[in-house]
Amino acid sequence: MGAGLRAATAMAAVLLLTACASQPPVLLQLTPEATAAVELTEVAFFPQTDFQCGPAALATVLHSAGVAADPDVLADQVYVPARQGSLQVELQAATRRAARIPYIIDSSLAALRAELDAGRPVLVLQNLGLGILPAWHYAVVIGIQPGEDRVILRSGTERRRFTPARAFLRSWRLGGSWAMVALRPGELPAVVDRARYLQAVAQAERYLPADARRDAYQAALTRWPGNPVAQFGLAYALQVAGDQHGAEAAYRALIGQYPRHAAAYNNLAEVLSARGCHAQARSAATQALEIAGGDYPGLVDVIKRTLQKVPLQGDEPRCTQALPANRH
Amino acid sequence: MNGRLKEIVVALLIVSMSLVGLPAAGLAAPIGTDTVLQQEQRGELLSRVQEQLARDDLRAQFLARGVSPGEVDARVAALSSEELQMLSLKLDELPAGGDLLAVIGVVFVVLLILELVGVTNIFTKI
Repeated sequence: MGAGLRAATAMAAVLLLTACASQPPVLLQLTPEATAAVELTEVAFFPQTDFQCGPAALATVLHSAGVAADPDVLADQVYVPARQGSLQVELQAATRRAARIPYIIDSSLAALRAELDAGRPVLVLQNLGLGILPAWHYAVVIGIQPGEDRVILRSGTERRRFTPARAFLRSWRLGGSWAMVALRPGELPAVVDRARYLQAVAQAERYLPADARRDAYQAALTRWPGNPVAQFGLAYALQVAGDQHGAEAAYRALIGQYPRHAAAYNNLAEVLSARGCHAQARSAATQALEIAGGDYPGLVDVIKRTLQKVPLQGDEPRCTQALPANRH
Repeated sequence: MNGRLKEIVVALLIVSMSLVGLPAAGLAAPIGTDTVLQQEQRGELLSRVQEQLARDDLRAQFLARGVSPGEVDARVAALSSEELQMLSLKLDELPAGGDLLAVIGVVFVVLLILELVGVTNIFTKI
């Protein structure tokens, strides 16, 4: 290191030190109403081994959501050896595989605090280095102490790591202010964005048992009555659970409100065919195909396959019975 | 060939040809909520061919980066179609949270200086 560079470094250090010394507390500035300290002391601690802060942090939030999580098993699901780390979307994917819903919270201290107040620890991505020299790290926020102006993390090999609020917020912002909670099906996040929640559930639904799917969409319908995505999800959950009558009624109700819902027609066809009403099923699938041809070209192939699958038979006698009433 | 044999051959052909059609029909499944959302948001889905290509590509990239062959399929399958595309394009650029001691060499020196002057917060007890 040359003398000039050394001098420059020393000067920079002095400047930075004086800059940092006079800064006021930040937590009470950002969230003045949240004056009380919060700490989720019950949250389990999984000390990280080697490069495994991703699996350890994920195990922490999953365990808190009632999953018997094992960091070693999770490492097989999220760790990328050549990157010596884990990727955000894979943490989300592994959360789905554990039958929990990964929800990315708003990028604000208030939203993070609200999750803690609701009893949920928050998995955060931190960049502990610089923008151009990143040092990526996952930790779990379990507490905030406005009085001391610091946050409490389960981080690495430390059960309670106290980080000054300013340093935490900097590292979080440099990590894109990315933070995730693991929701039990049926729970809504403390601060919820409708589209983001529904998308999170929809992406997780394959991994949720039938009753969990139902709970997740039912929670959305309670919050946003009549929401078509939640209605569709609930109908699909009933279909998967084998409740053909319930599913049929739910799809018909949705079609009653949204007559051009090609996907609902398609799935209605499957439900009808499953209970032997093949002629009605063909008619629903044909309707689906007609709508999709105009409005949803991406669905055409799927619907064609549905139509092919319906046996070329008529309705069984019981299909003439009155169908369950539409829920309008 | 007598009439009876012809009938049998025709019957066998019909059965075998309908069986050929079965695998495709077997792929038909109810449309999932995720697909409905994608339809509304983007109006187009990745075609099955495109999606399969992205899947194969990511699978190969994962294997090349040390992901175990026994796990790779389940990992790729758990991704949504957007996530699949994003990872297959940017696997080496996206943040990978890991051990901080992986930060070495000049990076380490720079970070250590910054840590000592209080800008960064990586090393706890130095």
